[in-house]
Amino acid sequence: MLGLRSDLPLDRDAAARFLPWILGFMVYLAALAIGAAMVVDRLADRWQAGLTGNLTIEVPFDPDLGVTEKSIVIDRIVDVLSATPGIAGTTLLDDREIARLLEPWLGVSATELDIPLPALIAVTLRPGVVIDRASLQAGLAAIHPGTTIDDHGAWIDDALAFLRGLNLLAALLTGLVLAATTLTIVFVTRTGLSIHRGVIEIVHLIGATDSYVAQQFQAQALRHGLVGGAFGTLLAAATLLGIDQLLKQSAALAGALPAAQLDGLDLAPGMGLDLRLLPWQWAVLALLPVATAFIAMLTARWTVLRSLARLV
Amino acid sequence: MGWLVVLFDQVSVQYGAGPQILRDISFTLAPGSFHFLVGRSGAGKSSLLKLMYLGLRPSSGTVSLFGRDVASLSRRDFPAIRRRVGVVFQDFRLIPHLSALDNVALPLRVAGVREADIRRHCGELLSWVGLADHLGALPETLSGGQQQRVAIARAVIARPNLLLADEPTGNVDDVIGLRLMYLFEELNKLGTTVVVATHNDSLVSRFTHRQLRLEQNSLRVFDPAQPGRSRPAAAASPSSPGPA
Ligand SMILES: Nc1ncnc2c1ncn2[C@@H]1O[C@H](COP(=O)(O)OP(=O)(O)OP(=O)(O)O)[C@@H](O)[C@H]1O
Ligand SMILES: [Mg+2]
Repeated sequence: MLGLRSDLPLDRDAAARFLPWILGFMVYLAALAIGAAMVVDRLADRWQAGLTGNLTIEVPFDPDLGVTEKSIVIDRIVDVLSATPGIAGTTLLDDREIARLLEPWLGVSATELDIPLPALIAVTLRPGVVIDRASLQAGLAAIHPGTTIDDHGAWIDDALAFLRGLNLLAALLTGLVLAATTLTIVFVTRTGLSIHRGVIEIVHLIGATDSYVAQQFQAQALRHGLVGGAFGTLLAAATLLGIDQLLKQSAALAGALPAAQLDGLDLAPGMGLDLRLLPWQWAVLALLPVATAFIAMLTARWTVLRSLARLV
Repeated sequence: MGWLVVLFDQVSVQYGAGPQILRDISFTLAPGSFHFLVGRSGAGKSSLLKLMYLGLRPSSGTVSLFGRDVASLSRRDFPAIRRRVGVVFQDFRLIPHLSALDNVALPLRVAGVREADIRRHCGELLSWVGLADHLGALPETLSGGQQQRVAIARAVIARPNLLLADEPTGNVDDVIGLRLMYLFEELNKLGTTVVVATHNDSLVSRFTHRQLRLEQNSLRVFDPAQPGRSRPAAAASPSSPGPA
């Protein structure tokens, strides 16, 4: 019974006519919040995966140390790293690369400033491997005092806490939208019940059950939920895609990095601003209209049954 | 018959703090009986009918429908009872935004009858009461008499066990009025218990059905077949309908 035929002219009620619009707006907000939460989830996953699979070894040098001495030290460190179980590979970042990474903070090229730069060795770990940091640290310091291992742990913790905060906010917003939607439907249903009191009385006298009366309201709520929900979700999807596109374009225009590079985790993890959702995440969003319609229907039914039960 | 369609025992009705409209009324309706309900305007005919379709609870006394004491019924039990009772309301109570056909279809839809059967049955019945050309008409576009016939069709469409018709011929000419009475008699022959409230004495006198007469808040049963034996309706007893 999808409301193909109705004994009550519910669609003519002023309050009910606004319902699809209100529901559409609500679902739009909820879809944005849920979409944002999912983007954040992916970011968190990728940051964590990207960073926990990596270590950076920092080897500080005296300014007067010669190039050959430096490379001997670095070779010995790389040898130790390569012999350590669980380490998949090492990459030595050369001076030019380090200078490029520092440039945004220094304003000019570090090579021009002639300041002493440490050697940086990026270490890739085998997936799922936990290495004994303390003993590695000790071994490396024995080769060259001052050598440190940075596993980005503090940074990850901060970033994850921030992302969790965002997720909580999204959940809160979704909860509020849900509450507002339910209240709206209760209000519209009650209004409908009172407008059509006379007809409902006749239908009752003819032998209709409360459930029969409720079906009329349910059918309407279901229809409005589907229409409003689909509208809001589509608009939210367009908004998410639009923002994603805008971000990529502006990044590409600024020339900071080629747009293609933004997709994955790059050297600077914070730049991995990918707003696209995975297929299953799109599927979750696509379920929103159905969920809205279902909630609307149940709320309408519950409201009618409860109100009629009070009639004695 | 093991049970009575209607049993009133010492029933009184009073609206709020107003005067007593019905006082200590007792009578029974046996299955398949046909009664007129007569009395002056304001005598309480519509109120008496209301008691029989669960539209009003008695202030005191016992009303039983189909063997069940109304006082013991909960809201949940109402629909099943009401589906066995067809009512022609004095003010028709058609649903304004539904066509004649959909109004008549309502009792069947409420009872969950298949849509294909509904259209056929309702169309046939409306044709029978002379409204074949008005199936899709909204009530407000129909004359008073036409609306009354839609109301009658709606009351009888589901073949109720009990038909309560409140002034069902008040808005039609004598020819149509008689035709409608024959419709009620047909239904009665099929087993429906019928009560027709009216103050049309000439109509009543054309038939020999027993009469429930409301006078001074009390009820007397009058049997035209035995005119001398008009008597106050005694306390309810299964024998009161008279010879079968
Ligand atoms: N809902 C109500 N509230 C208060 N009083 C009522 C109500 N309904 C009926 N009455 C009163 O009850 C009395 C009987 O009314 P009722 O409608 O039963 O009479 P009736 O015999 O059907 O009259 P008529 O032949 O004019 O239809 C009247 O005095 C009326 O004012
Ligand atoms: Mg009346």
